[in-house]
Amino acid sequence: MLILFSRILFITFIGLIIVGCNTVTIVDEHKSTNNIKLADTDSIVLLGRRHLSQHETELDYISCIGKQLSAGEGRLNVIPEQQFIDSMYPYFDPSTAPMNVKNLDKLIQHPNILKKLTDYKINYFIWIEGNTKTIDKSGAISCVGGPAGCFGFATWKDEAIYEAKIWNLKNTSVSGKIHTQTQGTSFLPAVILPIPLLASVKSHACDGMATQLKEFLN
Amino acid sequence: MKKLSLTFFLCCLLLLTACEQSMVLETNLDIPQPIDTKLPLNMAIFYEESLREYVYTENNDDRRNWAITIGPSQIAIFDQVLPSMFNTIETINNLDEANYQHYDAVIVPEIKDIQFALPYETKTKIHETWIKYIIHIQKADGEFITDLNLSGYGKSLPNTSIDFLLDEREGLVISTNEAYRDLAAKLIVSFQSDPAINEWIEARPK
Repeated sequence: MLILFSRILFITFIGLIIVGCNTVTIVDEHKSTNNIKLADTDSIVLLGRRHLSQHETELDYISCIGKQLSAGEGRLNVIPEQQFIDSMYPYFDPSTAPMNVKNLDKLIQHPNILKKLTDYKINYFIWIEGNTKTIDKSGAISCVGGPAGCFGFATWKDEAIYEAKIWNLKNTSVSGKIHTQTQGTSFLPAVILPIPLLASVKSHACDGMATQLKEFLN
Repeated sequence: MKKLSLTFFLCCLLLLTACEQSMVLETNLDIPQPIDTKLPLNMAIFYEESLREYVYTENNDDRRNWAITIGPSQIAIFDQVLPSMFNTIETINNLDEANYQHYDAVIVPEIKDIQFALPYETKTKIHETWIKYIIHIQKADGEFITDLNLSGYGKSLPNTSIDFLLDEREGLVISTNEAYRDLAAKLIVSFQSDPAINEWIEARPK
């Protein structure tokens, strides 16, 4: 009886690993121009939208894309987000940052702001809007006497929706938009010990966005 | 015996006062140096005593004997930001002084409200601060130009929230600093875009 129970448990666990934790990413791209070819000396900056406190783009998502863009083949010079925001203070803080290209045009009329951007060798801004949320969850786990005595099953579904807008500083226009939508389900079965089978939704959304951006900017 | 009773009484008193949840916090705010976008104005700033010595106090069941000293650090922030905004800026000790010094205008900041939210109150992992100011702008002779109603919001980062369980003060200092950073950013941008200020600058004798 015990052997049968162990086999069922093992098969269920393997099945969960196979079907579980799956993530699906859909990438949608809209370009106003052909792919941009950045010069070796050019830099870019990735900025997250944080003007609405409930829907802020996560700092770690922006730094994840930054790391991917500045590594490997076709690497780009990416200025760290916080360094850029601090050095451009107060014009790129969450409540004062330009919300559209026209406002950027007004901003660069000021010689000191334009000089800073020129010193950075920035010709393109990448604004990223969106976040990762849990959209569905079910099940329950109860633990008696600490984590070594748990039983139950919990599952939750995360969704990551992000949109990148590439602004061209030279002609103050939008050069392209990339939209990614990633969904993934995580499982937490618990028989004595809880075993988390996590879907890395944000990480997949980062991979998808970074790949598309690199292709667009190379 | 009498000596023993007195010692026991003092120990009890010490225990009682030690258990009381009190918060005396002196903020040390810090924001980046703004980019110079100077307006061609020679300005004065007048800090009223109520602003200089502003202490946020609260005393209720949840926030026992809170005293958060903001006065000196907020003045340090104004002193850091204003020189990046104008040709010249000088601090005056009374408003009458402005009349004899040929300033274009005088800035008089007034703090209207400050609020804090703690993680256990909002069921989030962050500390939050809201501040509200009215920045009175008047000509050197006292004639009204405009009032800028500005608010600043700041919160602590969620990824440091575990530390806050150990140190409530750190969370409040971070969120208050962010709120002042937001307020100062809005002050700079508002001065460049406010219609009443632009109208006054245009109408000024050159």
